[in-house]
Amino acid sequence: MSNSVCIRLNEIHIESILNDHDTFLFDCDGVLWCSPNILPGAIELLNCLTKLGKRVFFVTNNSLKTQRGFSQWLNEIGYQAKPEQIICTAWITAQYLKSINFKGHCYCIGMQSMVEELGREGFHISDGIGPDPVPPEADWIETNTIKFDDNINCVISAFDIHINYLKIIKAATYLSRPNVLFLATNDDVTTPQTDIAILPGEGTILASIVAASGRSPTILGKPRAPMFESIRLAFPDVKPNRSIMVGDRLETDILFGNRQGLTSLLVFSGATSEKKLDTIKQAVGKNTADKDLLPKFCIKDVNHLLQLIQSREKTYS
Amino acid sequence: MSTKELCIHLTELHAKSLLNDNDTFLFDCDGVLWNFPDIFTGAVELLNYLTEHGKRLFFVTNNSTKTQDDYAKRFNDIGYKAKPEQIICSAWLTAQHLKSINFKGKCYVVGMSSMKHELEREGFQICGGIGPDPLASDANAIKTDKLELDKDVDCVISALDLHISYIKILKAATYLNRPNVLFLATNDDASLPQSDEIVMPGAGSILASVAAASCRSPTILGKPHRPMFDAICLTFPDVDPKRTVMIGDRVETDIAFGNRQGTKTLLVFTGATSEKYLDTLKQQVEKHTTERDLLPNFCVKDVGQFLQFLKSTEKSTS
Repeated sequence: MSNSVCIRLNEIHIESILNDHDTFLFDCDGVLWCSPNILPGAIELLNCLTKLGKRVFFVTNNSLKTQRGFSQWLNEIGYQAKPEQIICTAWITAQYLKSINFKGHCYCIGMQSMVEELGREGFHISDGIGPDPVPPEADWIETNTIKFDDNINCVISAFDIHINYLKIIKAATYLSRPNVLFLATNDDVTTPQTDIAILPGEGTILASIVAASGRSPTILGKPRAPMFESIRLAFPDVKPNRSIMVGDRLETDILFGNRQGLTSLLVFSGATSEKKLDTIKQAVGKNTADKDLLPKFCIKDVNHLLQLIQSREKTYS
Repeated sequence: MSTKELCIHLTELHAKSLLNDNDTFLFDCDGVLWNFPDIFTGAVELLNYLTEHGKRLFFVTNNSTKTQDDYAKRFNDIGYKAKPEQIICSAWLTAQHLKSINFKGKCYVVGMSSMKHELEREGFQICGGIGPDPLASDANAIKTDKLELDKDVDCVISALDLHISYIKILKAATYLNRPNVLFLATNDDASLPQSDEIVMPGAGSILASVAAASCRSPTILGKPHRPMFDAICLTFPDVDPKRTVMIGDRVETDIAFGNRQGTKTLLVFTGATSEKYLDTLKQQVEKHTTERDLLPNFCVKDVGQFLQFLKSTEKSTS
């Protein structure tokens, strides 16, 4: 294939998409569903690819998901998923701590999913999960009333709807101590949007901790490498040049795919419109944006991909 | 880049020149005069000393949690007769800024009741953001259809907020996503001065989350930016930056502010900046990796020592 990018996927490409790729990595929000609706053709596509002998993984920055919960849900909606196909950031955080032989206690700004996944690998979250209330009439915080745990040597920042000033105090204070690790599940600034409101993402929470502490975390989610590395660790025969990343967001999914050496396929059903892609393409042309943001291929949505595969199947049947 | 004329350790001689050559003294408060409730030794005496010598004093603070009246009362309580117009605090400044741009409309303010007080004083309408906006403690998701969003917000203001929450960040970002909504911030200090090892997030930490969620950058009013000095000069047009000293503890705000407005700058080591950190900065400036504006003309241990130098010069000339 040439060096061209943003190729509109159609019948002439589908042959090599199927012949040259054994492994399909899917982002979820904006690709397979737009909460609460599962996108047309999504489940059928997953089953179709599995039937064709392709390996399928779900690669999501959403730190509320667990391997167990998410695979269970996929089974309920018609796709027989195994937990090891779910590459989610709560799980990857536990894998990372395991890979560095981490010993100690964690302060984790996050939700129950983090407790579940870290707990599976024997890691203990001392504090940070759920509400940690500031008295409603408070106009100051008495710092000598705050309880700190001297055994904490890791601070993890994930999605947390109970984020508040007291939690940021604790995270930043732990981070000011020597030899305290700083991890973040991901830094997406918004979660997939509704029309009603902007939903702040993990990156928003992370930004407040980074500002207060003056420290930068090791970020585990897309577009960084750990999620693909974890797939290769568990499945050594997965090859980047025979893998395809399907996503809706340039700065996470597509950048992730391109940087790990995968073929990248952008769908327009989520975070990125055709207009936005065009804008980025022009910026790349002017050297004001990273060329790795551009997908190799693009397509309207997963339903169109399914239709192309099904047409090909008909041709060959 | 030469830093020879900078970071000079104050001596009696320098103190004498500072007194003789300057009419106006600007003081940061937290980390300079006090770590409340501890008032630093010599602080009140210094303020009275300078006033007795005919100097004009202003208190220039990024702290958005207190009003002009709160500060004036505090000064009076500790023995310095401050008038409200000497207090240039960021809550008051925000109201002045909105006044100066003829702002009409409603504000969503992520901040404390001090912000509400100062804005309402100038007749501005606040439609939310002050105080707690809680989620149920067992909530694990946001019900977007249950959100109470105001239809007509024209300005979002980000200040220090002890009651910051996910819902508030959501609302601020949602309002900022609408056309023609102004975005202001009182200041962006990352953390507050603390005497113990606990890190207290500053307005900058709150702002970081609102800016990230909205993908917008605010107009920041506090030090090191101009508006505080402009506000002083508006009411006191004869204030001359060349005859003004800015005394502060934080290089990125106080010292940069003073240097950029053309005042002399005096750094104290009782707050955000240690001697060691200043040394590191000095080396970075020499290597051109940090801007020169961060370095003070002079530095001194604390305001008490500045006072001692001033009193010594008086003794030696009497």
